[in-house]
Amino acid sequence: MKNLLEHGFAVDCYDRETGIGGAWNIRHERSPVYSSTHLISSKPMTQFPDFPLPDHWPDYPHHSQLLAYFERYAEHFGLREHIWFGTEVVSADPIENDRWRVRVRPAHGGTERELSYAAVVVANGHNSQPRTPALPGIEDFRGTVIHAGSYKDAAVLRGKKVLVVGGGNTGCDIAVEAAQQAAACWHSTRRGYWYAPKYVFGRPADQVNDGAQWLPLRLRQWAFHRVLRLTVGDLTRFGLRKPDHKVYETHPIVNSQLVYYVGHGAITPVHDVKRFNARTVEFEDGTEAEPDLVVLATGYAPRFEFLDPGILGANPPRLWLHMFAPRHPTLAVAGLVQPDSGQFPLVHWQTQAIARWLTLRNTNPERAAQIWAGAADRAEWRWTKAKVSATERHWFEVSHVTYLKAVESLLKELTA
Amino acid sequence: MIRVLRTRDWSRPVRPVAREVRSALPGEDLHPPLLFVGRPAEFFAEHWLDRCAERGWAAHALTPRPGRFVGVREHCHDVVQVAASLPRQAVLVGHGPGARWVAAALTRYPAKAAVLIDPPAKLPDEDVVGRAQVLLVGGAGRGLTKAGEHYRVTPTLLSEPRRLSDPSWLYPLEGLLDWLDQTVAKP
Repeated sequence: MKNLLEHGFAVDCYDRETGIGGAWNIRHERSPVYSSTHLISSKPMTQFPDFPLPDHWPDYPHHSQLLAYFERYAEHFGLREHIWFGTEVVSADPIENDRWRVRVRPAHGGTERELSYAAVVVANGHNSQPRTPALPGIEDFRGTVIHAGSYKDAAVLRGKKVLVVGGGNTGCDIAVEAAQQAAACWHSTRRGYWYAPKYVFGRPADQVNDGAQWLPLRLRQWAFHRVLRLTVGDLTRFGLRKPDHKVYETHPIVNSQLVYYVGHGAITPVHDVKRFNARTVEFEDGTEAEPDLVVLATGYAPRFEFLDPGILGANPPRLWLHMFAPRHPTLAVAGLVQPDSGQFPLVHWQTQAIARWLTLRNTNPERAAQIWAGAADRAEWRWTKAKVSATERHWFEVSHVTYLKAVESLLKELTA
Repeated sequence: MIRVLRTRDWSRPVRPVAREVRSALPGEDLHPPLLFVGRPAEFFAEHWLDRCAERGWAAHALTPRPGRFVGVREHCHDVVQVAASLPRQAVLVGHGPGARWVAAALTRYPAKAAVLIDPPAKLPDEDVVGRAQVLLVGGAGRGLTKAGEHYRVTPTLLSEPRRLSDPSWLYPLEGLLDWLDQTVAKP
């Protein structure tokens, strides 16, 4: 929004929540944040490139600090007066001349209003709609089952026997909290993972990694494996599985504590869930657990219920640079990327590109049409360096260096 | 030139230090805050900050970090940190060596406006971010001409540029406040 305003556009922003921060505001209904959430990328890789996080904050700030940062950003650039809080978008439909008819209504009921806009930017995030896999027998299970999206505080784990399903960052965080608070903890994952520590050589690990970007990928992968091997050692000795992929091929798991608690015996690693019974859970490796509480840290799915399904292309959406829908030059999606770094630098440059694209359409339509001509083919491209694992979760993963290079050349094209 | 990949900023961020900032605040806070850099905060506090506050502008001054291995990059980092800590988009004013730091900061922070007093001839090759309006002030010379071309503005010439390092000389300050009143003041 700041970047659109900066380029001279009049902007209305609709947010169904009542405050700034979206997913990062723990008080928001759809926020996936829990009380112990900290960033997994360090400050320089996380901040907006033109509004740094304060020097006196730690390397990996807490979610409440991040919310304070967004509130300050909104204040600093005078954004609040352009936001309609507590208002949700019911639908956005393309009309003539690439304009959009947008219907909005108060989030908790009320009369709809219909408005017309020259362009629509979708920035509803991809971590608000819990995804629950099909788990055989779950309806017979007598214990409690919650999704990580409604997990807010370790208090619910205290004294319970807990099964955490899912090996993502959230799953690992909750498994660690269960190790500290619960009576027992099983951690079920589909595969083996690389557990990247938050610090190596006394510095945030992502900063060390970016300092080595000039090295070829294979060499970096080798060095990373080597460092983990020398410091953490052989994970299979702890009962964890050997990763079936190389590092950098999936969104990284950043957790220094998981292996530590496995070593304490406070977390029992188990394989994929085979089926639920009334009292017990069976796993693929033939073991069984008897939990009272199951936390499904099985991720989130992007949802665009206000757009006609055809608009963004098939499922998953086919978007040029994960931003532009080839058939709708005045529609853009911001933030639908999962980088191997912080999210916000990428979103900043995405929205710079969107603002410049919309500007160019006004100032030089011929040139804009030229650039757009290739968009449809390029929607199939992916912006990862390593061969990303193709599970349903990974389709919008990007490598921040590869992706930002592509956005940089687009920005140059748009300003030339 | 647009630079999106900032590997050095990511992998070797500037080491933070404690910073000294002096401020003078007006009775009613109407305009964007001003941030003076390039000299010890005391230098600006002595005469300039209060005068800004009298004319209705919140004014802050940052003391440059000391140290032998401190360059434009470190000073630029400090300027942007302080600017981002202010409640609203700031106006950056660079005086002496501060002009170079402000020029660098303009490639990292979307200032409301910037004033370069005695700008250097060599300016950063990265694009200015945001929509800052720029005022150039100084004695006739290569720096001012070059900066004028770089920012595509007409510089303002001073009749007695040598007195610029004299904090009691209010003449350039009144001129820049007049300019701010006309260009960035809230109506």
